[in-house]
Amino acid sequence: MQNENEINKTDQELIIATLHDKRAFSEIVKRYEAPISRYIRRLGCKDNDDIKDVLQEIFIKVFININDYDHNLKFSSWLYRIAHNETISFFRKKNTRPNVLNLNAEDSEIFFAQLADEKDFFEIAVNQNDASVIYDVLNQLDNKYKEVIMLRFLEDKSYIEISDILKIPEGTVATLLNRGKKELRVALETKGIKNI
Amino acid sequence: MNEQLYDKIMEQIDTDEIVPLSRWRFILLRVFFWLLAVMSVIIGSLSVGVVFFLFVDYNQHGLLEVPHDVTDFLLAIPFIWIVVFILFILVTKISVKHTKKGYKYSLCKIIFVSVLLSVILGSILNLIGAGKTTHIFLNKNSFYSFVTYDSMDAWNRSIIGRLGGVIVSIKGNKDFSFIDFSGHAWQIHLDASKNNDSFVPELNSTVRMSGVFEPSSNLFIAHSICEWE
Repeated sequence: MQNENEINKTDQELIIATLHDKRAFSEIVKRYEAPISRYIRRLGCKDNDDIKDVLQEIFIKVFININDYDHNLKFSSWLYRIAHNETISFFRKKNTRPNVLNLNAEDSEIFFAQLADEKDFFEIAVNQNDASVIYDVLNQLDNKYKEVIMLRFLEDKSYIEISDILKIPEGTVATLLNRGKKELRVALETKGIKNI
Repeated sequence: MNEQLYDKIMEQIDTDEIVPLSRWRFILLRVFFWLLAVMSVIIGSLSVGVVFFLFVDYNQHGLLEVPHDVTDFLLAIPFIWIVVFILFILVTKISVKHTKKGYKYSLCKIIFVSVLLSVILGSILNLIGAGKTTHIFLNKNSFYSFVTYDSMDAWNRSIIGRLGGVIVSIKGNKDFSFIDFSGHAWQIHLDASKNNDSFVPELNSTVRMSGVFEPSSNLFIAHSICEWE
């Protein structure tokens, strides 16, 4: 019964509940385990055990800093911010920050679909044959472009959310996305993917 | 898998007795960064105030009217205050970025607002005399006086024809005895061919003069003279 109540609660309500009863935190973990795990993997963490360790660190950090959460902010943005910082810090500790994104076939499909939705971006045929191409092309981009492009097209985050996650102004998000898309367009064209 | 992760997390929380950090800790941290930002703007403004004071002082004491070389002018630029100003603008930027919503503002916006605020506040501080007070107060410190221009020093350079100090005795309208800012005694003669007619020497008054000095004696021939403002 308690579990059912928790399922219906909003993120904000769960946070308030956690401050009174730490067991409420379980619902937050359940709700975000899959998307955060995917995000860590996309940031370049390939090993499943590493992903689990980082995930645990992230949720522990969220629990410790729960009083720092600003209720005007989307909880998922705050959580993604911690996840981003913890993952980068994990790479730093291991001294092995990968310069590549770790995308699977499903990611590529989402990515193509999102790109095609962008009004200012040329349409690209959603073709599974292009998955490896997009993977190569994305990994050629500078990290700063890669991060915003991934959050925008793979995590489906708005400009405000990306700004809150990466702690950069919204204008900078727009600039990085535009520049990233330009570089992506050029790189895709050199790979033979052109406007249709 | 969900249960496993939750179990692991709850187990770690229980084992390590992890509790959320107090809300006050975060509030105090934010207050600290806001205070740091405000303090930086105030110190930045004060440095602008001193810069304004020194520029006005340089002009007010006629240093633009008398012969001076580039080195002389460069020495008058208050580099130390310009450095202090830039330093505190950077501290403002760092502190604002650490506040809750600080990251939402671009670097240019933060710097522009900080500079604008500092210039406005600096002008006000200079108008109420804070620039002058700060300069005089710090001038007692040897390091500060070493790196900063001082109008008294600038008028204490007889070798290039500038002299400032106090009239200690008067011998007619054109001659008087004089003690300069470093305590040296001089005999002053006002050059009649120059435009000095309107000046009447008064005992114990502080004046500044430009002219030439006689190397063989302590005589200084003043081409122009006016009261020290």
